[in-house]
Amino acid sequence: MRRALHKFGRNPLSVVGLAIVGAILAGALLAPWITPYPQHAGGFVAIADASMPPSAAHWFGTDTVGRDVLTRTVFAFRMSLLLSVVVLVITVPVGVGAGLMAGYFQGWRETVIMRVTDVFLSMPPLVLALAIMGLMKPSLVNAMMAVAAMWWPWYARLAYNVTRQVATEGYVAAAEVVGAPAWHILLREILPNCAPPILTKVTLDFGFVILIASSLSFLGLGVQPPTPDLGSMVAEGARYLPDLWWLAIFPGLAILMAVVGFNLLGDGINDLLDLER
Amino acid sequence: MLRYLCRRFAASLLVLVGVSLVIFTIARVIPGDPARIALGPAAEESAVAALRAQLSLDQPFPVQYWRFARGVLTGDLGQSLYSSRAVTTDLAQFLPATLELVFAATLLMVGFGVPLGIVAAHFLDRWPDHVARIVSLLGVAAPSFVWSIIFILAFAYALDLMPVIGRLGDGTVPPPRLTGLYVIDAIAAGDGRAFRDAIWHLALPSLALALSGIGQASRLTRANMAQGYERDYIGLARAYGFTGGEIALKYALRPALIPTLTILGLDFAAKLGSAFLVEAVFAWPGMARYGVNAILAKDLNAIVGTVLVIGVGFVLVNLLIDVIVALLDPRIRARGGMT
Amino acid sequence: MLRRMLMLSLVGAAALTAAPPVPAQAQQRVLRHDEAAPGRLDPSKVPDYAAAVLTMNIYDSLVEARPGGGVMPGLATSWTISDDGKQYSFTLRPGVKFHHGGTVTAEDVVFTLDRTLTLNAGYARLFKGVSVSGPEPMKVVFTLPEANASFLASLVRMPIVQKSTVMGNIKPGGPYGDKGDYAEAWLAANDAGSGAYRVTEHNPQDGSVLVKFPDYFQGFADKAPDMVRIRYGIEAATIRTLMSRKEFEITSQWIPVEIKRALAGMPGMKLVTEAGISYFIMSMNTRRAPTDDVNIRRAIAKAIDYDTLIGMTAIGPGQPGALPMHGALPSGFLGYDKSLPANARDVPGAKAAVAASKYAGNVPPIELSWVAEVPLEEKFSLLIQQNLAEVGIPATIVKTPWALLTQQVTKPETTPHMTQRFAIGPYPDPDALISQNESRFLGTTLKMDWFADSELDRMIPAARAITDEAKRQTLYIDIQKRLLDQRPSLVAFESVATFAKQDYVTAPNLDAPGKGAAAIGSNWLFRTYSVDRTQ
Repeated sequence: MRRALHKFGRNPLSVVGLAIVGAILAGALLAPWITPYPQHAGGFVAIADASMPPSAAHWFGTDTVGRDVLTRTVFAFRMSLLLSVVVLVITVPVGVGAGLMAGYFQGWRETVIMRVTDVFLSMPPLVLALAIMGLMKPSLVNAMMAVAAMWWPWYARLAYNVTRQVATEGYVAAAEVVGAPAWHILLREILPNCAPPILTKVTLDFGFVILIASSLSFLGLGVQPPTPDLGSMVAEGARYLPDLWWLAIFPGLAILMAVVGFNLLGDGINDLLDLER
Repeated sequence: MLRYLCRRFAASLLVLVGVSLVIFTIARVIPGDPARIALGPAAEESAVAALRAQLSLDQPFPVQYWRFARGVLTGDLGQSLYSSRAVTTDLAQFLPATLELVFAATLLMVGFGVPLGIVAAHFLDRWPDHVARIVSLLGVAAPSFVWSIIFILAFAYALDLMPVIGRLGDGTVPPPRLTGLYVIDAIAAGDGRAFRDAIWHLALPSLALALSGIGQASRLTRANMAQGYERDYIGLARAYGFTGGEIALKYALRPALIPTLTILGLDFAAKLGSAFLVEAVFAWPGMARYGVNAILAKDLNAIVGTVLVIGVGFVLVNLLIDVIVALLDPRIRARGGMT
Repeated sequence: MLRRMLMLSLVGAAALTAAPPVPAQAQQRVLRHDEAAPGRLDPSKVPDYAAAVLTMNIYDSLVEARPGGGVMPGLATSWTISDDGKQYSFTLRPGVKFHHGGTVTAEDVVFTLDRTLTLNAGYARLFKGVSVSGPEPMKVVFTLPEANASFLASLVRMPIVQKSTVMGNIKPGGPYGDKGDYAEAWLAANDAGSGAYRVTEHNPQDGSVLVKFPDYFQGFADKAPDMVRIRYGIEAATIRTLMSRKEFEITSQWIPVEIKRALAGMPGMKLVTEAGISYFIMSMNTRRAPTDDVNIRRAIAKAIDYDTLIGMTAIGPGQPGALPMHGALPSGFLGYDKSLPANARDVPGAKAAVAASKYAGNVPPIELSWVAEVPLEEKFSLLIQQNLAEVGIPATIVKTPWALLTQQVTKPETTPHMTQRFAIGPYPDPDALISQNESRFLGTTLKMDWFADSELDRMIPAARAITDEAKRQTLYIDIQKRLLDQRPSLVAFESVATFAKQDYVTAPNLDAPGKGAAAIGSNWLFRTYSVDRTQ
């Protein structure tokens, strides 16, 4: 463990990743105290200040109803992070678990799991989102369920194909020969060797979930205006390019920063796992 | 392998039945009365009821599904309320455009993403790796339609280099229809001008659509190659005097491609439905846009038709990828009984 | 090998950038325009703006909307109305040619009404119970179930189809017995009209191509476009780029204000407007607390900051996107009266109204719903939310896709407290908009206030039944007073549709504000436009 920490600390990039992620978390938590205009995070209108380019008073400019873009970007991390963390915490174990089982056991279990995956994959996100709105009241929880429902099959497919390959390695056969139980082989032998692609996908998905969530809030599901979320800020701001460039560019850079941070951190964790293996 | 393929095809048919059942149900849960939306608020209740009956919406669910399934077997997916035409006619018209766009995007994802990942893994934690990281993550920081707008503004508005909308310029005659994919049809017809024009129009939308996939492909390839480099047999190969390039391709790349391929395959099929905003920006007459319009207008037959096409896409692509994965590593074939 | 792969991808990239752009060489006068999808072609189907533009150019109707208001002769040269207001006799213009050969006769008019009523879609409701006969080849007589002064104007929305062409393209086995599908499938992509343009290509989500019909009976402007190309549902950034490259002639009104502003600032471009026929209306659910109390509804009407609201739509100084509203009719209609009280903000008055309500001191929160497809309404909602908070009415903003809204409004309990909608008058008669306050429209998006009022249900048909214009004017003012007093809805402003166009294009009805016709699509007669790229 100490060796691991030491190795992590020695890789400056992992430390940078950790710092970025830490800064984002701190910013999101402390948003009401560190932003210049906390009241702009909600429904606030100041038409006289609308659509102003970046200035000393508004570092990231103001939006089309006069709200401070910096404030809204920092606040947006709250919803966007919450959403992507919750979605990934649900989807990764479910998807990876299903994929591991299908890839390792094969036979009828493989057929059932992977074909159900195919059915789920075929459902367009918009249909799922609208159907959920038809059945229940639009809420953040429902939005997360909708995203999770369309997300897990990707992890299932990924884990499945990697497992098929890893399961052919000598150490798996060795464990089978000595009579290790299936769950042991799955969790101790196969899962760690599937980790790099899955971890990489997770770090990328922080960005993708933020973006897909914006297409749900377009329909009125998920994060609702006036509460800001990064994906919607980018998507709606893009309509004003290039004249009001600050509306889309700054939230976009914020997403980029988050994804780079998580990606660096993920690579660092990957190195650690490698050491354990 | 043949037996495996037969089994998979049988299972695939079941999947499509499942897809049709699920989407048939879900589409009916979407809020709004399709007949009311189609006829508008001023239509009388009697007219709305008549259209509902015409669509069998007044029948119990199993009857509706039975009528639909009977139609599918005769190649009839019903009428679209949105376009007032047969859904099959609409799909035949719009699908090739989307396929062409998504194929082109996939070529770019493979052609740029994988090399970028290889370079990054080769120069792990050195500057080419960092550059590759930023380049690939840019695609994740903004959705493809934002990139579409940025590309249009940069290359067509500011620089006046590229065409803006459609699949061909106004002056170009489309090549005789063979596949509906203009690039391929132009090659088949030996029409150099149409070919160049089609590629020229494809460039920006397919790149915008490919950016997120390029990022995924390069990051996944890098992660797996980096892991591969640390495997014992690579050390062994190095000891035997194989050069770096050979090692990269023979030993590190092959297994490293499995996750990349898996995700690229999914990305390809998903884009059949998710390319709609790119299609809207470039006025690309594709199926993704048709499908989304159908969803928003609750055009039941069109929704089911589009989703079935996407379902076929996923089923075929996943089958293809699973087979390729088995081909990459003979041990997988042996273990999976696919020989 | 690695190097070779990298080289290959670079070569691929080079190949992509090496192809030269193909110059679009237009020999003809072309007019390119965009509209919101879908553009439906069948004249008996759903009415929307795009469909109206299409039918106005492809088909003719017995009467046409006159620039400046009212109607003028179209396919009919003259008409008489019986004393009881129930019989309308028209004399047809001789020798008007259809695109597919043959001329317009009474038979075609009779057939058109039958098809409209049988399909029972689109504007069929306007002609319910009407029967028609053609006593002579060039004479038609309509018999109405009751006197209806708006009938003449509503004929603008009955484009005449050619009987022989429609009957020749029927698909058997449709829902209409021996009429098969009544050519629904064929007319969805083809035309059977006599208008100035004929359709050569049509696809409801991609676009339409219209080509000049040289034999058109009213002729063309000198430099009228030979070809009109309409595209549906393109992004604003795309249109902006096309306009700047002069690959596009005139935009739709649906692009965001910011893009219009940018276009207005480009050389060689100008903004033109269509005013007087549409408004922005907010309905208040009169069957849910607290908007069931008229005092709360009055308070809301007094709380809103109309100047800022109208300012939000402005494209620039001197280029308003909206005009202040007096009453409940836009300026282009009979019954418009400037002496009716204008919308005005009155915070003390609003507070007093809240205090007078049964919810004084404890107003439950209201749902302020906006349509997800119309982003401008989000800005309106934010402002209104802030305005309402100032007078003690808490509000939450709810974004709702159109399809969901159509379902919500079928029941009073699910209809949001406040809903927003832009409405356009389909034909040049006040009844086109005012009748939407009759209780027969309850449960549809035309009437989301659930206000079933016996007074209005009596007054509106009464105003429709008489033909004397001066008397109608007074009746419509009375109706508007009733609406202003009971406040089931709030017409916040008259909206001004703005379009950006190239200087080398002239569009007479749009270039001259106040000279437009009061019917959707009637200011888009491409035969009156000119395209002169040499100027």
